[in-house]
Amino acid sequence: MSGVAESNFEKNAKESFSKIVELFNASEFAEARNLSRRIITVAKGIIKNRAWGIVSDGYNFVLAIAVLFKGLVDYIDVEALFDSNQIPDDRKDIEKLWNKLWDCRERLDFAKACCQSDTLEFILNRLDLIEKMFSQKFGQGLYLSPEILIKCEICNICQKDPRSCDHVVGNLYNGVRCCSVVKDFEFRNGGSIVEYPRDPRCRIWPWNMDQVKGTFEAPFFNFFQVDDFLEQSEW
Amino acid sequence: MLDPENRDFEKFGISKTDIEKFKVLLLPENFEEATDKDALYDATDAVHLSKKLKGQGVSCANSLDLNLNPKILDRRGEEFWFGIIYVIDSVVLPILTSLLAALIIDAHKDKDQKIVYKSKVSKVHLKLKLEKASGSTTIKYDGDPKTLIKVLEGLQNN
Repeated sequence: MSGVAESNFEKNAKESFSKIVELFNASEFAEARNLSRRIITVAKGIIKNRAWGIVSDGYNFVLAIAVLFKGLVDYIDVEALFDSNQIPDDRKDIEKLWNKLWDCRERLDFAKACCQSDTLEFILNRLDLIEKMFSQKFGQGLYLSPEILIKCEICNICQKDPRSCDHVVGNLYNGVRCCSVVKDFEFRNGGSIVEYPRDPRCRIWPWNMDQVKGTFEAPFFNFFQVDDFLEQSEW
Repeated sequence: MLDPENRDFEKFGISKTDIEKFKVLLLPENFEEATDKDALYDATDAVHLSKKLKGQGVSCANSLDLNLNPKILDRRGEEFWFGIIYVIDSVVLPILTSLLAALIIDAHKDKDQKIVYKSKVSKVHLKLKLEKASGSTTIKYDGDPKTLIKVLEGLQNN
């Protein structure tokens, strides 16, 4: 990383984070969102324009910071939906809040490794509280859990079968988060209904069940990744 | 029960010499029941465990190392599936136990700096075959993470 924007990134990110904490304390969420989005935009530019020949931990730091600030944007969305410290009445908003809660938690848990802060702990405790309120209101819940038979998948770092390479899913390699990319698969035995899902976003809400027909609607599969917004133009 | 001498390995073209190069084998989950290579599938978490073992310098073979190329069964519930873990040399048992523990149990310090152990998942599924001078032991385990670690530690002590 050699450009002025890149070399200033760490300093800007730290200053912006402190400013966002102040804005949170003053409940000025709109300004906090704008500031977070500015940092994410700079981070996206650095990662997009990285020099592939150069291996640098700096890119990993930029990625982690981008995820941190996206987590803060998620948190602002959570607070907007959790207005007056209440779970909303509207069913679509309830589902949206639940999904945002998990997006936010997963991103901030990931970012915690590079940023220790009382504010992050506060937010994560707040998410725990909201989850507890969901549990009190709707119970543990039931979730859809598909079984997938993967016929072909590759590591996104080296493009090889993940069983034949050393890259570890979730670790960062030069600004890229390692994951397995499924190229070919089939669903096996439909799906199971479980109490403890891998992805809580696949929740079966009571209002999406048809007691008469004995059917229900729920997300079967979710492609969420903590860094998915880096590849998206709309985020 | 798996045995290097029997047809479980022979039926997939794996010789005793192929196996003896390694201290641990992570085999497809249905290795014993399947009759042909196309029907085999790996358990998702065996892929991660294999990398962890190799990362620690343990001589470990996964299904690709044994020239099998099975599909991978990904169950998207909050449970861990490791398939068949065949420990050929029991010297690796302590490191296997600690790597499994790190994967399935979250250890962190509370406000009073006491270590708190919390299961990351509700259930763990695996079949462990352990070769020892005194004979072999096979355990099929479908239960909670903490008990599994106690069982593995017990095996080490024995």
